[in-house]
Amino acid sequence: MAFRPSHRRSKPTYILDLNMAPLLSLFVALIPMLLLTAMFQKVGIVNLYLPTLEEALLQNNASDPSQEFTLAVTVTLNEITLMKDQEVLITERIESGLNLDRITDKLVTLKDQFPEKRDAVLLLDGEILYETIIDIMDAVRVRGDRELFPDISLADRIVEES
Amino acid sequence: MAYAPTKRRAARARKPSLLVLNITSMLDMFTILIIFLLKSYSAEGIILTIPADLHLPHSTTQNAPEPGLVVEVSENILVVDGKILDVDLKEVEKSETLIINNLYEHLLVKARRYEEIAALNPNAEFTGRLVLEGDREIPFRLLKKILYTCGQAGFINQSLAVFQKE
Repeated sequence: MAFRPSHRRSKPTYILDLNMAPLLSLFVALIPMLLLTAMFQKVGIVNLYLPTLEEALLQNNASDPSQEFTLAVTVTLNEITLMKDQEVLITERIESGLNLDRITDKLVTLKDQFPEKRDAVLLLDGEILYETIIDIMDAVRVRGDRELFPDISLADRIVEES
Repeated sequence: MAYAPTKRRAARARKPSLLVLNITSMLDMFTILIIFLLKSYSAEGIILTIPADLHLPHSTTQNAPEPGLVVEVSENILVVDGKILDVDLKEVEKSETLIINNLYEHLLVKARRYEEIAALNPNAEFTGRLVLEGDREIPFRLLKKILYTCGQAGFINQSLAVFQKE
């Protein structure tokens, strides 16, 4: 007579498994939503500054005239010049690429001398590309975490008749 | 007498009782994806949408975009608030006049509408806010004319859209 198969061996083994299906359906809903709203390239803005009439009048009546001057950055295709009123502070040639470190260094010392000053003017040639303008504005606006001259206006460079 | 399993019982023994997909590894992947996407999620929503063919310049600015009239300038088309204007930018670049007539008229209509809304609703004050999305290749000669025209039409609170550097 043959052996009767053992009951012990044929007992089903239970695998304890968490039911992940609800979590899965939640993820399936969340992922497309987040993918659609995700911004892989963050967009920011650079504010342009237009002095209003009141501010212009206020500046003319400033209590300390020594703090008042025009800070201008003149940009041509070949060089960048930093000017305080009519006095040329620094000139940087543009050769292979923009090198704004020396200009920013100079601007930091200027900011140390005139901590109240916030505005600067960029005087640009018509050929200057938008990207270059933004780079130069960055150099004039901030240095690391330090704010230099954030109120920047753009203007045409006045071509001197020679 | 031999103990032989019935045919039915043998068939039941061969068939697995429950088919379970192993989804653990997929869940691991989803969890990582969710964390990554949540990190890049912005709660304020998308104020500016940048067309794929428009390459904005990069800047270190930390200012977040604010809602306003959007002017898109790519290499040859000018779009105001989603509407393509009939302006030939190559001609504009060459011309001597600062003002772009077509753009000026369109912006005046927009400004008038904003003012009408402001008159009815004191909360929606017309601030003259304008965001310029310009291609990084456009020259200042063109940029200046567009900004000047916008300023003349009453949009004096101008800002330039850029990609933030990491």
